[in-house]
Amino acid sequence: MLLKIEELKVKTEDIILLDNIDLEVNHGEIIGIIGESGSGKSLLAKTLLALNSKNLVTSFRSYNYEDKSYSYDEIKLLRGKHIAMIFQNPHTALDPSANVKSQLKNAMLLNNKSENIEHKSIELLNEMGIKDAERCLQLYPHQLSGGMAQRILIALMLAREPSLLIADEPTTALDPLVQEQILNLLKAIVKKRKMGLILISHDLRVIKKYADKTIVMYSSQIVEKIETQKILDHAKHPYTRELISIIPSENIKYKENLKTIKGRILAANEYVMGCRFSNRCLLVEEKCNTKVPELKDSTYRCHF
Amino acid sequence: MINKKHVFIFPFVLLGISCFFLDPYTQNIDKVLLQPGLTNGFSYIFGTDYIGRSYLDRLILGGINTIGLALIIVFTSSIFGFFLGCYAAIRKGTIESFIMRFSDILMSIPGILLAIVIVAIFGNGVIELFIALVIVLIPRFIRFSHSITSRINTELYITIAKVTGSSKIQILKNEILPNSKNLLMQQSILSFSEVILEISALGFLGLGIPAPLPEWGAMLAESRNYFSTNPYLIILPGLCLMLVVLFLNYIGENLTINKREKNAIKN
Amino acid sequence: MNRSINFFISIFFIFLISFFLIRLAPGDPVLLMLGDRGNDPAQYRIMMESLGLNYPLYEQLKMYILNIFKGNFGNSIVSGKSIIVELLPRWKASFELGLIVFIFSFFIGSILGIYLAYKFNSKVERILSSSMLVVYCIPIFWLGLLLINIFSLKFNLFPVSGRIGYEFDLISYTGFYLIDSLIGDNYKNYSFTAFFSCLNHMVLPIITMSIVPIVSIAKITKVSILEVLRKDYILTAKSLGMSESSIFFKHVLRNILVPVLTISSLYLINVTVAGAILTETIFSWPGIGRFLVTSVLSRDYPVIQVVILFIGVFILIVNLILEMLVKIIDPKQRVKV
Repeated sequence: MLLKIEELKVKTEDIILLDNIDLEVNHGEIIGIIGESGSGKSLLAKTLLALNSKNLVTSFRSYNYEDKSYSYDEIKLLRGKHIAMIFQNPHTALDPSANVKSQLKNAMLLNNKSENIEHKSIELLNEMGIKDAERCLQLYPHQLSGGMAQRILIALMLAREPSLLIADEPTTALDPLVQEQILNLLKAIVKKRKMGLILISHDLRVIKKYADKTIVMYSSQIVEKIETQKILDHAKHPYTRELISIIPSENIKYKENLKTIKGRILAANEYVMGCRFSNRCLLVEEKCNTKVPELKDSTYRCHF
Repeated sequence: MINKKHVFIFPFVLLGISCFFLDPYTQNIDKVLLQPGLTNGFSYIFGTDYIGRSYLDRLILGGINTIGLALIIVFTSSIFGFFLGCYAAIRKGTIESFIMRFSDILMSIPGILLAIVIVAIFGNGVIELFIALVIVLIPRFIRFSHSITSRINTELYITIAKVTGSSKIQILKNEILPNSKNLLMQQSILSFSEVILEISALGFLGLGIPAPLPEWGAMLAESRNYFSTNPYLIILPGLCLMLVVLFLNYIGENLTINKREKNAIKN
Repeated sequence: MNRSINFFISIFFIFLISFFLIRLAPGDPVLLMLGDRGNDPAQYRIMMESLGLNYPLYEQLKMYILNIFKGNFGNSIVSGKSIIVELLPRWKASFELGLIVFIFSFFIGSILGIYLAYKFNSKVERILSSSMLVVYCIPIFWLGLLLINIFSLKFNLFPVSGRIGYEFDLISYTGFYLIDSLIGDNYKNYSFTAFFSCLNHMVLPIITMSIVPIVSIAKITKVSILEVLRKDYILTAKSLGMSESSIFFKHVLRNILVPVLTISSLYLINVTVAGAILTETIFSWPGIGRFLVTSVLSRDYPVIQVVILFIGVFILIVNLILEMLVKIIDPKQRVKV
């Protein structure tokens, strides 16, 4: 067991931003988290590394990494060395005033090993699929293409050899061809090094293709947990089913309208009594508006 | 917002009315260097200076001189500067680069220095001071309106306005002015406080508003030697200057703090 | 390339201003340059020749510029001495003071700014920031007067005027008293006392001139740091497990260097020159600022001309050097995409 979290909650003074999140990742496993903007998925990523701003209050029943329990303040000891995170926009995530070589060096020095840094950097870049590693070391972030920058960001995060990687929409800012390359790269690295990966995206196709298990988030709650293989036929939550149905098929006809889910997600300060999906759900009934559904069998959160 | 904005006119109005009751020029030899107090009448509540003139009267009228002159200077520079800048940005080409280069050169020279140069050339007087400080101040407004106009110019809605046939002046009135009103106000108020300091600095050096017209900087210079006996002579004009500048800067800064910044600060 | 053109145009412009100074002023330029001696017809003719008033304007301008480059700056009306002889020691006095103020304000200001940025929104920071707003509004000449009156006259802690005590007779090696007092015969005669007297005389002028720049630089530094701290790459560094101090030195510092340096140094030059003019007058510091003021008050036109030229060219050269330094430091401009 790599990471296990129980009942994670994040809130500001009176608004709940993450509601009772339970999560488990094992070695060699890819967990996909899918949700739209406002579902809380990015906040979850940051919370896992205790990177939240000071006005947010975080609490949980337990936070266990490799069978050892951590308090909120101890989480920062895990950063980089055990758990690492890559973000959506690789260009802003890299320091514009330093070249690749010095950024990798800074990361490696954190492990207190100063021999062979250049050699190891080149090896790392090669593993990322960058062919001209020596030349690449001298470049500055603004000279890199999107795909290159993301590879370098991944390399940077792997420099300290962590066991768990959190990828928050790692390919959203890249064009589709490069997207697939990066995702394949991530999968290969994770499987090879027996790491865990938490892959966060708003695109169900990505999650479907790469994740072993899927977690669906909506309005700061987990609404479904399922093995990705079974998602097409066995998804139980109405939201998940809608998400699946709106994926445009590859045989989409000319002038055929793209499907959408009607309505919009509730903002954190608009949460109501009862199910938060009720304003958009096709199965909605009286009891949906009065009682918040519990997570049934730890798999889905619905009254039906 | 209505109340806040109009409150700051009140002191000026008060000053303006009170000047009808004051006479800062009467010298009373028997009243030289009086300490502040009510005993000699309300007029002498701040005592007298080294010739025997009522300090309260001098302070108030000095304020009107300093602030009033600054007001006219800022008003003139802002209007001329604003339109010059817009014109430069719209016309483009050599006219634009000439105007911009000229104002850049003027801006790289410190204000007081430039003012001293002009006073050196043309002599000591209110008109000369006015011209000097207008020249110092105009480049800032030119730069300001030029950058706003250039930015707006490249945006889509100007192209649309041009395409639909509005004349240049109409574009100016309808698009540029509303967008720049607040920033222009802020820039004017901040320049206002700057000019007040410059006028008094020049007055202090003896190169500003000529004697015997009261002026806060000049009053400071006159009272240099009297600190041990009559410290208020030095403290008061400086204090007035500081309070006025503080007041103006405070208004100027708060004019454009919007909600987003407040939230950013919270986080 | 564009920058050099701008530079030379500006230098030419300064020459033009000082050239036109006596020709635009009301009155006869010859008399302006001669003062009282203008009554002597022989002197009048000599001055008229050297000004070249018979010739067309561009010829006059050429003569003027050539004279400058030959080193012929003319004589002061008030003292009769060669202007360059009067100017040089005064310039060194101003430069000594100005350089120390520059370094001092920058150093203290940036450290204050860093402190304010990292303690942002705490009680201390809010109190400090509000008081900084007030301090920024204090007129520099008022501050100088108050400091002199309180610390020099009342408490006798610091001297009232001058660069060094009257009892010292300093031999001038470089013209910079702080250096001269420590070398050669000066050190033999006075040991460290001359040096400390010199420092003593500098304390109040330095405080007067630095207070407002310190506040401005602190604000610029604070704002830049806060902006950088919000960026994504700081989050990256944090998620790598870097300590706050490492993040500061390895990421924050490099990214604020350019904006803070550019804005502060250009600002400091202007403020130092303006402040020098006022401070030197208050503290009777024998510098070029006070020289300018006294010569304007006494209508010493030859001196005014030269001083304006000098200060103007100095400011332009410093601006140019600073811009070139920035270009070297900024990594984005160093490497072509």
